[in-house]
Amino acid sequence: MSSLTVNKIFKENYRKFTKTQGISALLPLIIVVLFFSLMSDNFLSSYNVMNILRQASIYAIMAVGMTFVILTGGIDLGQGSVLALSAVICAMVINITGNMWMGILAAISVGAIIGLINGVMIAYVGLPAFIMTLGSLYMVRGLTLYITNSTQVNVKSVESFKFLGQGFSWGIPFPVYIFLFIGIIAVLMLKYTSTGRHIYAVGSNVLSARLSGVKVEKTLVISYIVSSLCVALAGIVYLSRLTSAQPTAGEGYELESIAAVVVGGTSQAGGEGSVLGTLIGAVIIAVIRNGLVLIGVGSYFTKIVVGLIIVLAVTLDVVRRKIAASK
Amino acid sequence: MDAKDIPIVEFKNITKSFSGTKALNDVSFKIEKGKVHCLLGENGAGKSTLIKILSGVIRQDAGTVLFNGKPLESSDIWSARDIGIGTVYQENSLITHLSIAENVYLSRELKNKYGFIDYKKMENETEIIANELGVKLDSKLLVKDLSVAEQQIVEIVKIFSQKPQFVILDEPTSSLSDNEIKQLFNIINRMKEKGVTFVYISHRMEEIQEIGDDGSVLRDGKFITNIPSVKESKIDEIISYVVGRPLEQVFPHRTSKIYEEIALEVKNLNAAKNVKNICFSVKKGEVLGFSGLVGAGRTETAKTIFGEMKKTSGKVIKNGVELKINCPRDAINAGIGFLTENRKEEGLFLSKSVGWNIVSASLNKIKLKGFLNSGKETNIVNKFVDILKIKTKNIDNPVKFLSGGNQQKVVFAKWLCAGSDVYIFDEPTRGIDIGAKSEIYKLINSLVDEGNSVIIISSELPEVIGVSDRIAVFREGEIVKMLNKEDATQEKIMYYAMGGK
Repeated sequence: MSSLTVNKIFKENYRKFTKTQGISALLPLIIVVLFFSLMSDNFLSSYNVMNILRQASIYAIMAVGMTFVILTGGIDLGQGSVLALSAVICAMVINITGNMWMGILAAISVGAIIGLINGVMIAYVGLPAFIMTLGSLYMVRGLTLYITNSTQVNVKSVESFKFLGQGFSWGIPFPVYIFLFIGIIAVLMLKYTSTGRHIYAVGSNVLSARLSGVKVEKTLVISYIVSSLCVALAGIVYLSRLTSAQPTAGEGYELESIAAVVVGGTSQAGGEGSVLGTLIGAVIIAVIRNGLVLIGVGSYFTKIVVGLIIVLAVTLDVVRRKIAASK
Repeated sequence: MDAKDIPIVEFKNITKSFSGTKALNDVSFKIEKGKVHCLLGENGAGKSTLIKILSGVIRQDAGTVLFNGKPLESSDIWSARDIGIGTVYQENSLITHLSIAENVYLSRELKNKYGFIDYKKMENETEIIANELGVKLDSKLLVKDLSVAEQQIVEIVKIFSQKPQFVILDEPTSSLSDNEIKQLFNIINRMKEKGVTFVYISHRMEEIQEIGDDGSVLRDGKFITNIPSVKESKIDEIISYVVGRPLEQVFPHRTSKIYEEIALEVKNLNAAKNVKNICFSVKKGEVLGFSGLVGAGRTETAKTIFGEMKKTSGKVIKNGVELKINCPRDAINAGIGFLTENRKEEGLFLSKSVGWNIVSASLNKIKLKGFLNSGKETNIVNKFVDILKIKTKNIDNPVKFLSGGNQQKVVFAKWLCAGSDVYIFDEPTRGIDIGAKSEIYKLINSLVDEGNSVIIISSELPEVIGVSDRIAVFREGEIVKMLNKEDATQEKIMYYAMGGK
C-alpha cells in the first residue's frame, strides 16, 4: 500500500471521527484532566477516577433525558423535583412490599406519568415548555413534601438494592454501568430509529418536520417521557446510594443537567447535538468539581468555574460556527 | 468633466473570494445616474456578492468601488445608509409586531424635545412619504396584519424615508402578484423621476424588460457584457449572455400521453380559510396548473388536500378510493407529495445534510430489520443526487450551503424518494435561476412521462401556461374557471383571476 493511500484512509477516518456529533466536547475534557493531573498527584489515581465517574453518574443519567428534550427545542425544568418524588416513592413502595423491584417499577411509572402529562400539555395543549415544566417543578415538589409529610424516608435495608448505588463490579462503581448503559441505548435510539430522527427534525424545523410527515406532537410527548424516565432512574440510583431520600432531594439538579447538555455541545435552539456530548459534558463538570476540591479550592469557587465553563463552551461553539459560516 | 456625467457607481477590478473560490473576478463596470440598472446572472454568478459589497455588508479583497466619484471606504451598512445607499432584500427585514411607522423609523426614531419617541410625528411622516410614492397606508397598523405585498411596500417606504440616491432591489417581486408588481413599478418610476438610481435584480425577464433601462450581465463571477437597452434587446439574446449558451427552450416540449384514468379527484372541498367548494380532478400523466392572484386560495387548497389544514367538508379521492387524511403523514402514505412555496421555512432542514433531508419523509425505506441503516441511506441518497444532478460537495454537506436551485432539487428528491405519484408543486421555481428553472420543467415532464400527476401552483403566468395541460383559475378561495392549454392566454387568466365572469 502506498503512503498516499494510507494518508487518504487516515484522512477519511479522521473526517468521520470529527464528524461524530459531540466529539468536540472531548477537547475541553482533555484540557481539564491534564490541568488537574498536573496540579494534583492523587487526581489520576484509580480510586479518584472511579469517584468522579460515580459522582457524574446521577447528573449524566438526568442529562441524557434532558438532551432529548433540548434537541426538540424544549426544556425540562421539573427534573429535580421528579428525582425527589421518584426516589421517595421507590423508598415507600420498597418499605411496604419489601420487594425492590416493586419499588423500581413504581418509581419508573411515576416518571413516565409525569413525562406524559408534561408532553401532552406542551404538544397538544400548546403550553410553552418553560412554563409547563416550571409548573411541574413546583407541583411535583409540593406533592413530594405532602406525601412524606416533609420528613426523610429511609429504605429498610435491602442488600441487593444498595448494590445499585454503592456496589462495584470489576472495580468499577455500579452506577457507572447504569449511566453507560442508558447512554448507549439513547445514542442508538437517536441514531438508528425513526423516533430519533424525528426528534432532530422537530428541533431543526418544526414546520418542515410536520410537512415531511413527522407526527410532531407524538415526538414531543416521547421526548418528555424519556426525560422523566431518565430522572426516575437517576432517582433510584440516588436512593440506593444514600439509602434514604429527603423530600427536598435534587433541588437545582435540573440546572446541573442543563449545564451538562450545554457543555456537551447541544444547541439550545434544538436540532443539533448528541448524547455522547452530554455524557462528556457531565464528566467535565464532575472533573472540575472533584479537581478543585483536591487542589484545595473552596466550593464557592467551584460554582464560578462551572459557570465559566458553560459560558466558555458555548462561546467556543458560537465562534466556531461563525468561522464556518464566513468560509 | 461635468458632475452630471460622473457615474453614480463605478466598480473597478473588484475581486472577492470565499474559501478559495472566486465569487467575483476582476469585475469592472459603471452604473449611470437616474437609471434602473438591471443586474443579470444566474444564482451563483456573483450578483449578491456584488450588492453586499455595495451595501457595506462585506468588503472586497481587491479593487475599488467609486460612489459619486469617491471611493467607498468603510464597510458597514450604517455608513452606506448615510451616504445614500438603500437595499431592499429578497426576504423582508420588518419586525412584525411593530407598527408600520415604528418599522420605517427603526433605529432612527424621531424624538420630541424631551428625547422621547414622537409617535405622532413618525406616523405623519410615514404617511407623507407613502403619499409621495402614490400609496395609501395607515401607519399605525402592525406589520403582522399586512399582506406580503403590503409588507414589501412598507420596506420600500422605509428605504425611501432615508432619502437615498441609490436603491438596490433584490428580487423584490418574488412574492408579489401581477397587480402588486404594477404598483411597485409605479413607485419605482416615481422615485426615478426624483432622481433616484436603481439596481434591479430579478429572474423574470418580462419584468426586467418592463422596468429596466440598461443592464449588466455577470456569469461565474465575471463581468460578461453591458446591455445598453434592455427594452430593445431580445429575451433570447439576454438569456444567452446569462447562461453562456443559447437556451433551446425555456419550457421543454412534452410528448407523453395523458391517460384516461383519474389519479386525484377533489369534490366540494371546504376549509375554514379561503377554500370554498373546490372541485377538480387530475388525470394520470397530466399537469394541472393553479393560477390566480396571491391570496386566492391556491396554497390553502393544497394544504387542505395534504392534511396540513383541516377540511370542514368535502372528499379527496385517489385512484377511486376516498382518502381519510388527518395529517400530512396520511397524505404521504397515500402517495401525495407537497413541495411548499417557502422551501427554507417549510421544506428543508437547513442545518442538516443533503442526505438527511432527502430521506426525511421516507425513513421506512432506509430501514433494515426495523433500524435505520446508513449503508442503505447512502445508496438511496446517492441515487437521487445523481438523478437530479444535485451540485454538492458531498452528501454530508448541510443544505444551507447549497444554491437556491440545488436546495429546491433536494426538496424534489425528498418527494421522489417518498415514492409519491401525485405531486403538488407550490411555486417550484421561485427565486431560482433560469438554468435550474429549465431543469425543473424537464423534471416535471419526466414525472408525468412515467404516468404521475402534477399540480403546479405558479404566480408566473408564462410558466403556468408553459407547463400545464389545464389551468384552474382561483379567485377568493374558489375555482372560477378551468382553461385548456390551447385556450389559455395571460390576458384570459388575469381576466378571470381579477373577477371577470
